[in-house]
Amino acid sequence: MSGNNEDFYRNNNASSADVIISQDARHHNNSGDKPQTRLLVVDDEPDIVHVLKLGLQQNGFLVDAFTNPEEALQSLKSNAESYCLVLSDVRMPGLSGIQLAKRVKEINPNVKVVLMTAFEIRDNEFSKVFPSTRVDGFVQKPIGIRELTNKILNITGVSEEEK
Amino acid sequence: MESIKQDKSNNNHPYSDKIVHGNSLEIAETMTEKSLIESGSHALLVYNDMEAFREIYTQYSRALLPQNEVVVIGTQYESINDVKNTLRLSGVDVERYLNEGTLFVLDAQHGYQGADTNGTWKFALSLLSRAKKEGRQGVTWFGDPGSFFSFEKIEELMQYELSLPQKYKDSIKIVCSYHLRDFEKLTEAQQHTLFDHHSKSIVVE
Repeated sequence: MSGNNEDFYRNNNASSADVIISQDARHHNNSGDKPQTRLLVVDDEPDIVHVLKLGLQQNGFLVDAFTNPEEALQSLKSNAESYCLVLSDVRMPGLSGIQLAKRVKEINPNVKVVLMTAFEIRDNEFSKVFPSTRVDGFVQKPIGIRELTNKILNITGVSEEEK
Repeated sequence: MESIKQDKSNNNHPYSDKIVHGNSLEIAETMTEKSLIESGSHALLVYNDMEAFREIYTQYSRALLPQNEVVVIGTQYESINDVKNTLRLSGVDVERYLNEGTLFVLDAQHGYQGADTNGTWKFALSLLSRAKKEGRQGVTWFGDPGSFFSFEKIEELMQYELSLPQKYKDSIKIVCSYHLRDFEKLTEAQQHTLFDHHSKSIVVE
């Protein structure tokens, strides 16, 4: 959590049930002429989940957001072809971001995984322990929504117009 | 403080006298005002969410740092800056205690998963030695072992826990602080082993 936004984060709560249900990874919006990219966002801090969901939705993504990674996995299993990308915190109790990434790739290897952390990113931190688990990108928190959006677009290969 | 209770629900349970239950406010108050954790304890804390852990470490730091206690917070799920900000927001003069060398906020994962797992313990002992020389009251160490779960090193966790003494002669309190979601990943036998090995167990509900 960014200390600069502490009050904002603390005053905005999202529950793990606070999700948007949709069917396909590249959705059509209300006008029916423009596909939208569906993301799965996971962070154990409700305030961060809320801010990310709001910001990414405002930038044109469809977002399902969870504070419990096990619940996020259930959603992925139920809609395995629906998501383009999973954006997850690294350090979460019960199931870490890297463990989540491993299971996401087992369910659908085409889904991209981006991990976020507020701690120093050490490149070999996870590769030693989980050598076969591929992560498509790392993000250092705090990060602005615009920068995060660009990162997601780069990784998914979706253009600004297409998203 | 009536809801703070020892677990007498199953008198046949070998650890029923050692487990204390309560909500985070009650636990925090009892830890600070009634010395729930005695000097020399190797205690187990199971917290149900981050708010609960924040409540406990902030209340404890706010009360004990002015009493000349050295407080170490080994964080796993909050960044070091977030812990410091949480302390500041609760009225702790973080900069003063950091400068005095009585407050330490550390990345627990870096300590436990670094080159030397026992490095954390060695650092605790060096702090204790320094605290004695400087006439401090004692050292309290909150350490979150969540990284053992992230790295799927449960056997290493059990070995590490069992390598630590149950009681210390010196004025140090070690509070192994587990998130409930991590603790629930342990088998019942492993949980019992940990309850058995710690001098006191506290479960936040």
